[in-house]
Amino acid sequence: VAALSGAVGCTSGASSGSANLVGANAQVFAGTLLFLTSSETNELRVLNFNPPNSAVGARLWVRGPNPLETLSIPVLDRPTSLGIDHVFNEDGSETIGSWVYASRAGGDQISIVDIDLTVGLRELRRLTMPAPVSLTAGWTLPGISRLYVATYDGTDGALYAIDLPQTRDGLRALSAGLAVPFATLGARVRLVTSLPGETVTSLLVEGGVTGRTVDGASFCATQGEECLVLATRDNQGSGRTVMLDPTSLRTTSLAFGAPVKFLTTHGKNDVAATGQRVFAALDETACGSSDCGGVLAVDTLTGSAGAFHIMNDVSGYPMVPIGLGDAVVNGLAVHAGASLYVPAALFDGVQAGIKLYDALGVAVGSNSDLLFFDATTMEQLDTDSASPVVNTAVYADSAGNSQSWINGPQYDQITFADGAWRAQNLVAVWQGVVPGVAQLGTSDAEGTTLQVPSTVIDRVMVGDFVVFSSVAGACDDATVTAVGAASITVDHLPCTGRLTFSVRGGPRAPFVVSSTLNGYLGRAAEGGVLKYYGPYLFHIPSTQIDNGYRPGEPTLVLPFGIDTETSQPQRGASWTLAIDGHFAPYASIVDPTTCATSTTFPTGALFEAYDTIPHVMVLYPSAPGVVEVNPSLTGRGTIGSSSGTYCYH
Amino acid sequence: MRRLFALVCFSVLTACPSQPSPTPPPMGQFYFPTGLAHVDSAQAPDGILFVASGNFDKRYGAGSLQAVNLSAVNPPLPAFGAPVNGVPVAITDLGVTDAGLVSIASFAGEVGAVPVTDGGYRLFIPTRSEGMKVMAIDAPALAAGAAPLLVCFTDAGVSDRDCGTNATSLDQIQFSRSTSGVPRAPSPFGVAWAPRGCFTDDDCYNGTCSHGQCLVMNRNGQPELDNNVFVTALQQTDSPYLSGLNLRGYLTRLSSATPDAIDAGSFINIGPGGASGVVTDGRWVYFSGRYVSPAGSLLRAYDTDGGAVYTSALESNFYALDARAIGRSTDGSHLFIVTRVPDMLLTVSVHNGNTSAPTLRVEHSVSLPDSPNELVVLPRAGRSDLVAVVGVGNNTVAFYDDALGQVVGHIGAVGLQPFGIAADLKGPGARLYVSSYQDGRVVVIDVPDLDRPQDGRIVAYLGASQQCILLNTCVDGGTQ
Repeated sequence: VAALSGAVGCTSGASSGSANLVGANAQVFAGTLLFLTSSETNELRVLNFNPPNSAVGARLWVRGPNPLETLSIPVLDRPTSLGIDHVFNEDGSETIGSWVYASRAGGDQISIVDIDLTVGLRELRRLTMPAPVSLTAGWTLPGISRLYVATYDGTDGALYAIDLPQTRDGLRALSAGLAVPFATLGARVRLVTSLPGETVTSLLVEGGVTGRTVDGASFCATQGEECLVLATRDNQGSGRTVMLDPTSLRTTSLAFGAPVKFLTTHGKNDVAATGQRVFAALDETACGSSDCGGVLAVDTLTGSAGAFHIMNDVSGYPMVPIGLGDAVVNGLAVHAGASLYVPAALFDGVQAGIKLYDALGVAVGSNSDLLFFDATTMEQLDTDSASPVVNTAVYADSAGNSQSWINGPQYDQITFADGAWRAQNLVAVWQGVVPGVAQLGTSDAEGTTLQVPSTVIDRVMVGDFVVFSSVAGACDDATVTAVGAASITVDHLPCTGRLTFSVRGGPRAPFVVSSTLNGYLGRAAEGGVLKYYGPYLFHIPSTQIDNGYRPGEPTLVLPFGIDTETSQPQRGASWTLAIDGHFAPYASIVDPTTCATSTTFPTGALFEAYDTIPHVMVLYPSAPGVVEVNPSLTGRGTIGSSSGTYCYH
Repeated sequence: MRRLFALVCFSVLTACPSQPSPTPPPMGQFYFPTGLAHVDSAQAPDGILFVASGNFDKRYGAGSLQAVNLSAVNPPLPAFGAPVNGVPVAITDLGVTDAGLVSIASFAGEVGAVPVTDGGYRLFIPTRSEGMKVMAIDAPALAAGAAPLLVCFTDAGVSDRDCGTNATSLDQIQFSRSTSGVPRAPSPFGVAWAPRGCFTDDDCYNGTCSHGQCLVMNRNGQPELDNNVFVTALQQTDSPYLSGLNLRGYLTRLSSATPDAIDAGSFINIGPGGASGVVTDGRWVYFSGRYVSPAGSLLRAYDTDGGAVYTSALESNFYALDARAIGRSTDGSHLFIVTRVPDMLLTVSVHNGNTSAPTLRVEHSVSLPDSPNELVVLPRAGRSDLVAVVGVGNNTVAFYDDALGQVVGHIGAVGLQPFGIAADLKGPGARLYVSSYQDGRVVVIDVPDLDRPQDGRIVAYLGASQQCILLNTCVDGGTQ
């Protein structure tokens, strides 16, 4: 089926024509139809996964009244967000309702689009909300399509529930023309909750989960009655995530511990009910980089202390965020019961094969990666089963010129924790500048007590060297005589006109050690041992391998020696160890030639629910289009049409 | 006869400013307007707007820079924040006089307004036509009751209104004909400035250190606080000339006091790839990079202290192909970069920006309307910045709220191919000026409250549409 899909699915030309998407910013899947925004042309386009008179697996753009043209659904200006009217059933299946909702960031309108393929696929009514719309989400009830709308007026947010008719005639009866003013909705509208100083960044609607409790009390536990999960961000940059019972208005926190950009969940599988596990992409703005980003999951079956907590991973300890290195996560999708073609290391150790996961996740990143992960064990899929090693070691003098090795870091005795190291260089510098205590500003007025940020003060030791710069150039060294909470004291002031100072490792620990990705690792004395307690990329149970995850244990142990009798190194001499972390996460990158346009920057993903083997639909506004990835045919690295990857634009 | 000739010469030398030559677009008419800058004025509550006309099709002999007293246009601009009843005011009488218009080279880029000692401004305008010149034009402080005045700071050309002919070239023949063929900075475009700092007189080789800034004699022999003016070049150069080898871009550093005193040391080799937008932040000059196969340098930085050029390599974690405008957050913790392919606003975090080793990390991005170009950062009290971004492809201005990390407002129908943007902060709000490249006007947008950008609206158009010029249908020699 997949091969056939490939053969006929690449149909950006052929009989369906091109959709001429300009601004593929959002997508939703409705039964057999994929709705996409074409933001700059103020319309939606529709990709049919079950087109008439076509082979199984074919995808064709729905045609317009003129069969030579691709159907255009004109909607509000510049649609950038889509919501869908649907419901998840107890067995995990999804029932699609009547409407797709289109809105725009910063706009107060919502286009309601009829999703019926035979007589619909047009905007029927356009709501006007009292404030710009942040997001929409739908939930289908008997006789009612309930539309949840999050708004933000520049200061405060609000969440509304609007009960819409499920029939065309009923919807048309809301107003004489296309526009439906908010004031005319009357009793159909309910303000669910106000959000002072907050805006909604992500909104999930899901059914209650049987047996769900918080501190022993039932909460959002009625299957068929909707519960909401909201991620919010306030106007100071903080954020929170809560589950909200829209009837009782009780809330329970989802303890992601950081602001969240977007949320998703998956259907029922053998280990969790539909909506039980909530996955979040953390907002990197909390700290300014991917260091605080990544994907976390919370299990919402049993809450304690008023919150649902981060899931444990396969090690039995709370999971670590699943990240993309220095890139940020642009999109996230999870599906219960999905297959992935994996290498032998993840299959049976002998050969590659297709592996069925209880839940498979994919995070798409700003570095072009489509990162697959096990969404049940919450593991990175490391396709390299080897442990970290030091590949090369180089000694260089203070000028950076390679020299014969002298004793320093004893890398033959190094030990790593597996799952904690990416490929990078570890550098030990003799009397090196202490990271974070370099070129700090000073002046003559500061005297012998110099201010050092409290966050790095613990890197400084008594006896370290202090190197000043002055208006006249370099000065002689001073020596640290005391270390305070946020200051150091030096023994003398070697010059006037002082402008900056830096601290270099002194005799107590002259080796200053850092690595290119982890940053400052620590300091070591001659004959000492550096123990570094770094973050993990993922946890490998210590029951599986000796150097697996052990809480509280260092992720690096490195002995140091020095042969001072034969070779005292100069200040600034360095030892560089090239570490191969043997960490090879399962990341695929779409071959740019797949679309014959730019598929370098994915911004969103979803699993379509039509095929037996769910495919991932990845948005590429730069293409502009959507790329279909068949996980059962794909592989790590570059993927293209030969591995079930096709482009529609 | 000899007496008549002398009389004519005398009248030329002493009369009101002579007609500019080469001939720029008509007075009061913008023609393919590009860069623009707004400055405050004690004599004009709405300030002065400087607008560069690019003269894209070279219909005229030159481009122009015009100075508009925004408090003296007719009809007047609506009161800030006042409702306009859905119909923006068309303002065709800009009150520009002969003295407020100078000719500049065609294909102008951004306009940088550097404050100078007398309370006026010196305007720097990179241009991309023959000679690849940077104009330096003085706009003295507006006198009471007077119209704005523009004066060529570097030598005027065939008339005192011609600021283009003798402007500083960044693609000088002596370099292109040298053995190496460099340095050259073709297609200068972006401009930013920063005070030329100092600790002692020794730091100001041609002047003295005055309160941390170099005080020098300007090219007219007047004492003046000096500034570094940084100009980007869209194109990279080859070495030797026309060899296609050893490609590298240059960032040019000029002195605001002596902008025509450039030599090889004025050109900073920034490595492969041209640059686009530029912004200064204390020690560092940050500049974005245009597309270079296989990948451009999204962000590089120049250390004004040590002279090093730092390549951020952000493109390895943010796969955009092209970068345009760049801005700095008010607190200096972020840079905002407009990217193309995809059309995004990228937020970059800056740590240790005052050291020799700043850390620049990809932090966040949001989708923007089609073909974003220039941006302006709008500070807000007690809150993170609002960023307004011009979208060329769909005639839009989008507003990004840095506190929320979302696009929170959007104004459509902003002229035709809007290009540049300038802001006049007014209390809790701002009045924005957007050059409409294909339309020949400047669109005026009021945002009464920067916390509510959704209330932003177009309130006026400055200038007459250039459509009749393009279609050759103007009547009575006018612009209508």
